[in-house]
Amino acid sequence: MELLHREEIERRLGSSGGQALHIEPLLELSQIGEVTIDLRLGTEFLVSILTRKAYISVHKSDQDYRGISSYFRPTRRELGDRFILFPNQIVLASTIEYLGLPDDVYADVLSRSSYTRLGVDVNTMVQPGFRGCLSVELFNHVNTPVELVVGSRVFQARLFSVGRETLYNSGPNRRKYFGAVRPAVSRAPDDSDLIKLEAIRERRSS
Amino acid sequence: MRPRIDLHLVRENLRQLDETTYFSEKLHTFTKKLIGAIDHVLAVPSRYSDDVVRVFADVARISQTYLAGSTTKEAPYEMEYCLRAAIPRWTGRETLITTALTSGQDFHLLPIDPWNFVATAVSGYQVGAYSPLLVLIGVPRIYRHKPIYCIPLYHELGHFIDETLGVIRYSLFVNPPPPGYDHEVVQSHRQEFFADLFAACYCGHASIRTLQTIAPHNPATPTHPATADRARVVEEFLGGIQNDIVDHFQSCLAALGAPNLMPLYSLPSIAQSYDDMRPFTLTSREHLHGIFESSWNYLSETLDGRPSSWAIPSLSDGDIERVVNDLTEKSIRNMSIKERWDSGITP
Amino acid sequence: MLAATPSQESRVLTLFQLALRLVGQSEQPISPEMHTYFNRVLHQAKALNQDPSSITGGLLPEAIQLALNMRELEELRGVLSDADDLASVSPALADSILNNLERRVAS
Repeated sequence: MELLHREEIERRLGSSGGQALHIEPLLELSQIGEVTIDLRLGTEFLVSILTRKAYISVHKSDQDYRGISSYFRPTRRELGDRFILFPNQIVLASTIEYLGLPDDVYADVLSRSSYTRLGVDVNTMVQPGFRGCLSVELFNHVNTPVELVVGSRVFQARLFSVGRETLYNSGPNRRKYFGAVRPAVSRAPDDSDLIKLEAIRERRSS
Repeated sequence: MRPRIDLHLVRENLRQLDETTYFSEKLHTFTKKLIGAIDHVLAVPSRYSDDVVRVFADVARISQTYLAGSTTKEAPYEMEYCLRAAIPRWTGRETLITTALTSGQDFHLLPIDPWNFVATAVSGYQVGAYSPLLVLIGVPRIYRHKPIYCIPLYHELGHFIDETLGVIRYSLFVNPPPPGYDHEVVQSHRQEFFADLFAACYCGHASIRTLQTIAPHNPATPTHPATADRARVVEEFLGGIQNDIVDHFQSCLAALGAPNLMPLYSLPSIAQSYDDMRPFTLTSREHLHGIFESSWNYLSETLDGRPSSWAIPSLSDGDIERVVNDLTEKSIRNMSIKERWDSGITP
Repeated sequence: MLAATPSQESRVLTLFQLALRLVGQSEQPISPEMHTYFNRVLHQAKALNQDPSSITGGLLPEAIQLALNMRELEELRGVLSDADDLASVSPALADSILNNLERRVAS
């Protein structure tokens, strides 16, 4: 595996085909660092809300199961608007940039240190060939609300070449979050393994 | 209800709206100035007659309703951006747009102009040159992230421009309905033909394909011409074929000193980007409006089995529709973001 | 609904009708802006009726609507012919114009 440096990033930005890197919109070239790419906080948010349910269930077979989206409220902002992240609040956001990763490159996305030091921690991984605005889970670890500005460089991505092409878009099984342009709630309940695990549990208890 | 009490109630609602943090700066200004006008009217009870206060209360109440629709923070900003790009050609008035997500299936575009009234009837309150129109867009909630399905908004914009310029009123004046024809039916039909042609100026064939999808075999009714007739007029207009209805509207627009109807779009070649599941980079107003027809065609073709890297056989029609609408929304969104970014002041 | 809501046709003439309602109300003088507006609508409507080609550009939608109403209702045409501008409209004439405008909408 190889960490992509600036020259390689810029080469792939200007190329086409399976090895091309796409970032749309790339508002400033200065977002490309020596080994990182700064990404901006997007305009769409899913804010977690309190409900009467004691917990979020991922088992669709549960009598009291409610869709995951019912635990979140969508809201939009414009470029330059402020967004307050409250302590211990989960907010699903996305990047302004629509990413098109090469078939042979994956990305680690973290919060930039300026924001990590404010208590906003992000750490996620993006599969090779990914297409979409990156959904990120914002969580405020400190005891003070933190103000974020829509459009500011909150995240940074490190790109790694895996040395071979993968089958993100053309594989037989479609990805859960492909082509997303706004944050999406968890689709954990759609995991086929959960059905199998539920059957195992029921067999064990019968 | 006494008119002044109505005005008090409207003012209280406007004050609450003004305290929201969700308004844009322009909407805050609009709200503050409207509150100022109401304060002025209510300050001295005898200053304006009950008739003036009654009409002003009505105008202010409608304005407040439209403003309230903008606080949901779920609005389809992309459609607002497209309509805002179209309006300046037809009216020099600044236009503020708010959006309400509706539970029904209808689209609407409703204007209100409190400043003309204030400048004329509440002349003690100085508005100066401030005179933006306030327009409420109504979009069905299920379509809020479906720009391709919001093409009817261009048709509604056509009605708004017609009302603003008085196109069909002028049409009826210079070309009255023949004897035996119902005046209201003729008026309604002409309004629909005009709005269809207006939409076609921006969305091309997609404007009439939308109608043919919603109401493929509709006969003429008192309010709307037959779908087949509407489609024929638009197709002839776009095809450059002479059509009496189009010619008549063009002469009305010329007489009113307004721009003529003409294609104001060009079709962006989105296939390469969309096939790679990426948004298209829009760089012109013509392409901005043209993306609706391009996306409509791309969606139709993909649903009919057009191959692409992502439209694998296991994908449902719903997934295909979602991807194409999302790519279209993001294409428009990116253009608006870049425009805002480039217009920002660099420190 | 308790009361009828104005149609699109009548809504465009709201300000014009309001000017007429203010005639004869001695408590507050009618503003110069209202005079200017009323006179502009009236003159444009009359000019349109006499010669549609005489006005190009700057036509107010309310003037077009008034011209339409005047053409369809002879009595309205008649009473408006007695009005040169708002200042010349007496309370009785204002009532007559309003009645005829409302007849036109109701028909």
